[in-house]
Amino acid sequence: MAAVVKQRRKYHITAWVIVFLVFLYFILPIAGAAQFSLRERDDTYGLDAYRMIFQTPELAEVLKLTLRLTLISVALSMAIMVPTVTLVHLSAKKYRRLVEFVSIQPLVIPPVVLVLGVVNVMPTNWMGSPDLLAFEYAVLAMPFTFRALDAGLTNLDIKTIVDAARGLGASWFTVLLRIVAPNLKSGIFGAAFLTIALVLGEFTMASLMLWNTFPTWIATVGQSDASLSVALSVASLAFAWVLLVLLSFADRRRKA
Amino acid sequence: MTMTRNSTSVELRNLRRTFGSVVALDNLNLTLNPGELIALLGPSGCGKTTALRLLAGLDQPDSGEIVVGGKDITHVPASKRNMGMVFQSYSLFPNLTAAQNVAFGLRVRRVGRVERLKRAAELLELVGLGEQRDRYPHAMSGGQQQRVALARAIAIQPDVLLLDEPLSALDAMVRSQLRDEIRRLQIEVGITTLFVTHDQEEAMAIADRVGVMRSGNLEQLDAPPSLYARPATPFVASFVGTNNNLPTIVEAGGIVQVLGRNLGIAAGSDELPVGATANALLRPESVSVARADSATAGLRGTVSTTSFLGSTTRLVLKLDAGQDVLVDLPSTVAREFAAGDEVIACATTNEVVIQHQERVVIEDV
Amino acid sequence: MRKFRDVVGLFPFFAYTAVFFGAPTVMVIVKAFQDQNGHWTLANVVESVQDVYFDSFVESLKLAFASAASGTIIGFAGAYALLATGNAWLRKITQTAAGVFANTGGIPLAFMFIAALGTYGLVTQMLLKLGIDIYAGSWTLFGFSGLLIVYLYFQIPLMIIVILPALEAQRKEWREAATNLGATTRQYWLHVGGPILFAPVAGAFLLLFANAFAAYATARALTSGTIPLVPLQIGSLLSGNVIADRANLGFALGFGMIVIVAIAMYVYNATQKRAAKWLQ
Repeated sequence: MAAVVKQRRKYHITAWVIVFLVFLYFILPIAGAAQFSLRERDDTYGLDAYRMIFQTPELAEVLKLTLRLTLISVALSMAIMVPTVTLVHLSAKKYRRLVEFVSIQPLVIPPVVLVLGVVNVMPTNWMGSPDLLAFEYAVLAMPFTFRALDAGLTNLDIKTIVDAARGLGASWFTVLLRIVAPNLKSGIFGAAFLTIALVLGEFTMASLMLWNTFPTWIATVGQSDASLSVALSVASLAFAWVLLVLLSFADRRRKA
Repeated sequence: MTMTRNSTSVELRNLRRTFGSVVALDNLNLTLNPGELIALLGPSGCGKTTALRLLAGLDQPDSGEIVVGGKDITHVPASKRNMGMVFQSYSLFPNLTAAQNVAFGLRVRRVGRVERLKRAAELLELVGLGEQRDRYPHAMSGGQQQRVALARAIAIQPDVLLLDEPLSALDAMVRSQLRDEIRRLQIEVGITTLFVTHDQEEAMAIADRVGVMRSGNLEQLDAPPSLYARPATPFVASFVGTNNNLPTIVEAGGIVQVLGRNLGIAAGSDELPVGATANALLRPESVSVARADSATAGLRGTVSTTSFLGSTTRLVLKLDAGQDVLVDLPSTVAREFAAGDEVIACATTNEVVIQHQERVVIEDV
Repeated sequence: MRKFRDVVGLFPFFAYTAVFFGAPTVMVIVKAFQDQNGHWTLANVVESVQDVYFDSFVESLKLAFASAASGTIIGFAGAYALLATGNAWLRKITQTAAGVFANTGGIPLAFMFIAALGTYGLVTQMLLKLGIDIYAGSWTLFGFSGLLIVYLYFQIPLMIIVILPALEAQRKEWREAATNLGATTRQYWLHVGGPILFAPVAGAFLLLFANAFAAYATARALTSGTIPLVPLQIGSLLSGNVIADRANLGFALGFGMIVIVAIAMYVYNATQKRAAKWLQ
C-alpha cells in the first residue's frame, strides 16, 4: 500500500515539474519583453516607453483604422454567418455539410497566398479602400465563426425548440428574435471575440496590402524605436488576454 | 465448452476505507461461499462500490484483509488478482472489435492468436453475440456491449466475477433479459460472484444472498425471501419491497392490532413493552379489500386511485381514520373496485413485523 | 417554394465566399499556369521548384516538420501533465492562455524573444550568470534553430488546444478494465491507449505542420531574408521585387503552398473523423 502511494506521489510530482517547465518557456519571453520595455535611457526602470505610446501621434490614426476594421469584420461576419448557420440548422439541413466544408476552406489557403490573389483580382477602387481588409478578415475568421455558431445551435437542438414554439403559435419573426437569437448569444459572443482577436493580430495581409493597421504599425515603429515597439507588443498582448478572459467569463455566465 | 471448475471462496475481513473525513467502509465483514452470487444493495454512497473496488484491487483499504481461496491477496496488485470485472458502462476498448476485446485478457497472458480468437468466438456465442464478432463497440447497443464485457471478464477464467452496476445504464427490457442471462451464465460456470446494484428488484431476482448496505455498514445479509419477510432494520424494511407503515400499539401477549385484526409480532424489534407504539410493516399483497356493505372485519376507507400493473393492480385506499394504505390485488379481483368506492380493508397474514417508531414514546395506555 | 427560399437564404454566404475567397484563390491557381501574356505554361511551376525556390521549399518543409514534431511532443507532454495534476483551475487557465498564445506571432513575438534570448536578453544574461554563454559559438536567434524555438510559442498552445479534448475523452474504465484483465501499463498503452490516441495526435501534427508552413509574419520579423522560406519569397515578390519575365512565379509558389497545406489539412480532417467515431 505504501509502495502504491509513493508511486502515485512521484507521478504527481513529475506532472507538476513538466507543467512548470512549460510555464517557464512561456513566461520568460514576456518577462524579457516587460523588462526591456521598462528600461529607460539611464539604465533605471520606468514607464517611459509606455508613456510614449500615448504621446505618439500616429497611434490615434492607427488605432482608429484597426478599430474600424474590427467593427466591420465582426459585423460582416455576423451578418453573413448567423442567418446562414441558422438556416442550415432549421430548414436547409441538407446543405449543412456543404456550408461547413466551404467555411473551413480558408484554413487551406495561407493568408500570404490569399493576399497574392486578392491583390491581383480585386478592382482598383476596392483596393483603394482599407475596408477590403475587413472583408478578407471575415473570410479568415469564417472557419472559427462557423464552428462557434454551429456548436451553439447543435447543442440546442434548435429544430425541436423552434417546432415547439411554432406549435404554440409563434410567428417566424418571434421565433428568430425571441428563441434563436438569445440562445445563440454564447455562440455569437465566441465568434465575435475570435474575430476581434484575429483582426488585432493580423499582420500578413495588412502589411502586404500596405495598410497602416496596429500590427503593421508596431512593426514599422520597431525599426526606429525598439522600446516603444516592445511596449506596444506587451500592451497588445495584455489586451488580447483581457479579451479572452472576458470571453470565458461571458461563456461561463451563459452556462449558469 | 465447459468452464466449471473448482469455485473459490472470498472473505472480506474488517475492511475499512475512508476518503478524507468520509468513512466509505466501516469494518466490513463479508464471506462469499464458493459458487455463490452475492448482491450488495444500497443507495449511492453506501460503500458497495468501494467494497467491490477493494476486492478488485483498484483501490487499497486503510485496514483489513482480503482472502481469496484461502490466500491473503490484500497486497496483490489488481492486475495479478485473476478477477473478472464488468463495469457500468464505457469499459470496452473502442479501438478493438468485440472478439479482440474478449481476447484481450488472453493476449496479455500470451495465449496465441489463433487460440485466443477461437476462445473469444466461443464466449461470444455463449452470450449470444456470435455474429457480432467483428463489430466495434460504437456500433453496438448498450446491452450488446455489456454482453461483450461479460464475455471478456470470464474469458480469463477468473476466480471471482465482479459486477459494478452492470445493468444500470440499460433500458428496462434489456435490463431484465440480461439480468437473467448473467445469472444463468454464473450458475453454469460456477463462479463466485459479487454483484453491486442500487436496484432492489434486480438484487432479489438473481442473488443467492443479498447484503443491504448503508453508510459503509452491512445492515443485513440474507437470502432474498428472508430479507423480504424479516427485515432486520427499518432501513432494510424501507429499501426492500414496498411496505405500508401502519402505526399500532403493542398489546399483551405479543399482539398488535392492524387493520381490524390481531396479528402476532413476527420479528423486527427487540422486546417491546405493552403499550409501546410501533409501526407495523404490512406488505401490499397482505391486505384484502371488500365492499363496504359486506360484513367483514377490518377498517373502513375509500379507494383513492387504482393503477393497472398487468397481472396485479395497485389500489391506494384512504382509510376513514385518515391513513393511506397500498393494496396489491390480482387484476381480476381488483376489477370490481373503482376510485370513490367505499371499502373495508383487512390484513390477511397472521403475523407482522413491527418496528420502533422513530421516537419511541412508551406511554401507559 | 421552400427549396427556393433556402437557396435564396444561402445565396449571400456563397456569393460572399466566391468573391472574397474563391476569386483570389482561383486567380492564384490559374495564373500559376499562365505566363504574363495569358498563355498556358508550366514554366512558372517548374521554376518554382528550382534553385533558390527549391531551397525555400526544402527549408519551409524542414521548419514545418521540425516545429510540428517538437510542438506535438512538448504539447502532448504538457497536456498530459496538466491533466495528471488534476487541478481544475489550472486547466481552465491553460485553456484561455493557450488561446492567446496560439495567436501570437509577428513582430510582438519576435521582439519578445529578442528581449529574452537576444545578445542582451534576459535569459541570455541569466545563463551567463550560470556560466553558460549561448553566443559562444556561432549560434544566432535569427537562424533556423532560432525560428524553431520561436515557432514553438504558438505551436505548443495549438497542440494543447487540439489534444486536450482527446485526452479527456480517455475513460478511466479502459485503464481499469485493462488492469483488471492483467495488463501492465506498457501493455495498456501498446494495445489500447496508444492506438486510440494515434489519430488525434497524428491529426494535431498535421495541423501544426500546416500552421508552421504557412506562417509569414513571424518568419519575416525574425529573419529578414537570411533563410529562404516560401512565404517570404511570395512576400518579397509582392512587395515589388519582380523578376522581369517571371511575373507569375509568385503564383506558382502560391500554388505550391496551397497544394502542400491542402494535403495536410485533408488528411487531418480524415483522421479526426475516424477518431471521432471511436470516441463516441
